[in-house]
Amino acid sequence: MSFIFSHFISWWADSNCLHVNSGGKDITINENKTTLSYEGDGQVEGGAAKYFVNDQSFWGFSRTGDFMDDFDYQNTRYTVSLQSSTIPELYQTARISPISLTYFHYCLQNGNYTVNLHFAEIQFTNDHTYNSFGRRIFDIYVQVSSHSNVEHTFFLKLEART
Amino acid sequence: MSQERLVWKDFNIEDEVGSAEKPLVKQVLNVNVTNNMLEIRFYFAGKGTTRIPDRGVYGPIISAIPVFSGKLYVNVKVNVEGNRDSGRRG
Repeated sequence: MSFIFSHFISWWADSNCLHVNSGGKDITINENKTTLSYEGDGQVEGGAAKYFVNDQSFWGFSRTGDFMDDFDYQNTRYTVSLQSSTIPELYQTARISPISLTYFHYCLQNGNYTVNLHFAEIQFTNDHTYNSFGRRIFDIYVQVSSHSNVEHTFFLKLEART
Repeated sequence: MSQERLVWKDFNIEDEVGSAEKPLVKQVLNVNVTNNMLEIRFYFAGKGTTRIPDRGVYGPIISAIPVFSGKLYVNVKVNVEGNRDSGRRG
């Protein structure tokens, strides 16, 4: 009984999920008959380096770098947006970084998780102008436990439906 | 103890989804949290264009990050079943 009780306490104390709308505002979306609330971080200001913590929901990010050649010394926001009717609201805003960007979630209940990464290239275009010639390349790291079997980690490429 | 692992080197959104201005979801399974902490890192790869369409357009870009517990993932998996076999990587 005490085990169940203590388990219950830890369940309440720790979070077991995370929903971030990077570079945007708080939004609620209906996905597969469930309602999901994504917390936005678009209000976070810029600077050469930024450490942001949302202490209500135990997450935050750290980012470094300034776009040195864009004539905008330490951008006021490191976010971009695209007003478009063709892509869902979740993808119309995004967070960018010239060098590094680390999202973290603390007080997360230990266990097995699935991390979904939602992307949309909204700074380049599909038309026949030179705007379509941009190429953006970056590396993605996600922590894995040394106990977990890396062989079992695989990826699914999904058409976004949200 | 946990360590970070390079899950995607030289990631290019347009190469993956085939187009700009189009949503893409990448799913990383079996992320084991043992110290109540989860970290997801993005680094500029030092490649690609830097001045198209304007100066200073490069580096990682991320739209949203939902993280589900393994239990919830089962629901997600069922709901995306129609697309499940499209592009599985080892």
